[in-house]
Amino acid sequence: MDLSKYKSLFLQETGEHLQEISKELIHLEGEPHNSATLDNLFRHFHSIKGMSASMGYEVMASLSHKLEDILDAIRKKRVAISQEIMDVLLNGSDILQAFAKMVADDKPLDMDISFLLSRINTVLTAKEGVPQPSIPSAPIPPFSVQPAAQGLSLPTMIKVDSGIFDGFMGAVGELFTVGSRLKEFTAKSYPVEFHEAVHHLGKTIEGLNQAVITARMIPFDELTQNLPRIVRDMCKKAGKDADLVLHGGDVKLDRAVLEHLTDPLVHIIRNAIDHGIESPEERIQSNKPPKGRITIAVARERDNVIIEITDDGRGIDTNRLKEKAVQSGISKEKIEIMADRELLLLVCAPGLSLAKEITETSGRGVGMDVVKGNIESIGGRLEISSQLNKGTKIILELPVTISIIKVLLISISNQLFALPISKVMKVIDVHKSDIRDGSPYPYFVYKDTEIPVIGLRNLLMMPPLEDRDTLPVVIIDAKDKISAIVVDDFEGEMDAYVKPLSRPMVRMNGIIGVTVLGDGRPVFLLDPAALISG
Amino acid sequence: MSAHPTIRDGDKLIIYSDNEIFAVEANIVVEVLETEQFFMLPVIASPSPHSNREFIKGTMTHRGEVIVVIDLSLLFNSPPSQIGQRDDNTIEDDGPCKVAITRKDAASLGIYIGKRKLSFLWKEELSNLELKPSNEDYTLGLIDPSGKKIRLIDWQKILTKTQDVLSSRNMSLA
Repeated sequence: MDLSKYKSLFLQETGEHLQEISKELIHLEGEPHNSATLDNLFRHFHSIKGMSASMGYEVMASLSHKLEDILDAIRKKRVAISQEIMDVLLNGSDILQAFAKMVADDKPLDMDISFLLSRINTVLTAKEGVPQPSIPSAPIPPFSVQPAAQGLSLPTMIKVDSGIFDGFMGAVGELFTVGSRLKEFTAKSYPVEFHEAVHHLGKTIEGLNQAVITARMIPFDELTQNLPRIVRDMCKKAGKDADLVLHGGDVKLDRAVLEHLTDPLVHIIRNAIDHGIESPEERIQSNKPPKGRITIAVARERDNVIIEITDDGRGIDTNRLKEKAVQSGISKEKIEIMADRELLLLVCAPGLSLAKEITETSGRGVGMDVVKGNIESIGGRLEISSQLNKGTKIILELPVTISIIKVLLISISNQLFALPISKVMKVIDVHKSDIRDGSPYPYFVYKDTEIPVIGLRNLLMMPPLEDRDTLPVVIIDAKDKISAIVVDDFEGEMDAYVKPLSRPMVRMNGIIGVTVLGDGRPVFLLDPAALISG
Repeated sequence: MSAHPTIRDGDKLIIYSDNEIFAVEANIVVEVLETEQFFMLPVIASPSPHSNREFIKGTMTHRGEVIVVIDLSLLFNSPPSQIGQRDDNTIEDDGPCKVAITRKDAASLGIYIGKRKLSFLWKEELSNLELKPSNEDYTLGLIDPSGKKIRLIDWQKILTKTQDVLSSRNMSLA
């Protein structure tokens, strides 16, 4: 296992513990009988010991262990605190500090500390009340070990509450708004210096935006740390056995994207265990290893991240899926002409479950629709592929970041709305005479495909516009079907800082988020999938 | 105008309506400001025919945040429901009108004041007054200084009602 990526974290945490040790030792010297101080010291040395052992820094782990022994002896009153003991503890923490520095500098931890170990042994074997032989002070090694009191330093990494970065992002969003407003001013006649300043401001805001996004990026495996345990527990409950394998855990995504993935990921894994992976006996009968395998593979593709969750279970029985789909009200004819991709996505239809039995957590036909909705709400896409008796693969395609997205502005009754460009296939004018009656929606034929037409005015319960010969329509690809939305007009594209809706707007139907224009007008981001489903 | 700098827990902002007087916990009032116009809130697809959303005047923006503005008079008088949105995107009052921006945790509501009178009722004044219980919706109780009936609003319930009305798929009658 490559531990180098945890080095910074190790150094940061060790530094924090050593700082606390330094403070607590001074307390202990002043109040030798303060048991809380002793406990704190014990805890800090113990943490360093554990972390060092995990990272393979055995000499640090061993020294921390010896120092813990002294504290333990004091706690158990086998030795009394003396100047000698305090010196040894302080010297020990200085040496741990020196080791940490060597780790930071990528130097081998080959410092000779035998002198200190022998002093530790001496103080540990001394009996309480018995004067100890005079022990010469430990020589300061020729490099780097300086008593902590002789130098001050600050950590190179700082821990920051993630909420602070949300605040930064909000501030950047507001700067975007101010920048847009200033750009509008520049459209009027202003001196060239003003234009240049606004342009420079725009570039600076973009740089700041990139910096904040970078700071908010965290590796995918930060999200999955508990997943092995979750898989273990789910398997145990279901009487199954499966390994979880993660590839590409170091791929970084915006924290906001990862937040949208927490529930979907657990749900997909739960489905894989409940409905995909067979019991060990069944797997043996199918010539499979008794232990199943769930693989999560993460890869970056330009501005997107592709997450594939694959299991080697029984796969989706498409015949059974067709039966269930018919039972749920989808016409047989429609199902027969469905492509495999479209058919498999029916497992995400609300209320459609293939589960033979309902478990505590799955099989109620809720879940995959929510998973899909969650992924699509951040401009992502979900695909499914499956082979009977071989397994199922769920593919999630997600943007790396969601805060600033490209949108198409459209207007209805002079009010602006936005649609995510990622869902827009084409913007065209359709002659009214080309629109034919159909159910549930009228349609027109575009490139040999019948495209249903949905009026946004109708959805917004606004009266229709007076008769127009041509209708501006946005062809969108969402909910795995192509539809056309009739608007009043197109108003161009823009990069928008889209904020999620907060209470009381949080559950508004068909609205994903909102952005504010330079002139203060709110622009709601429409959810194409919700528009299509009405 | 900014909220009074010396507001303490227990102080109330008093809003005088045509027929009623409302009290709002002053410590949730972030700011009282003037605006020229409100923007419409898009409601997509079929809201319950029983829902009354007339008390929602629209939205306004405040420091980059979109705020839903409600009119307490309309909420408490509950005029008949009118489904559908007007064919204009803004609602303009006759000149600038005042709105109290209120916020608790991550939720915000703008309380429409218009050109009505505003005042404060300080904690000390309230200490001599009894908060009488009330069975009315969205009301924490009634304060009755010198014969005036002041309705102390239940902000949390009003927020929930507003959210329900806006969530057209999950409409509930408060």
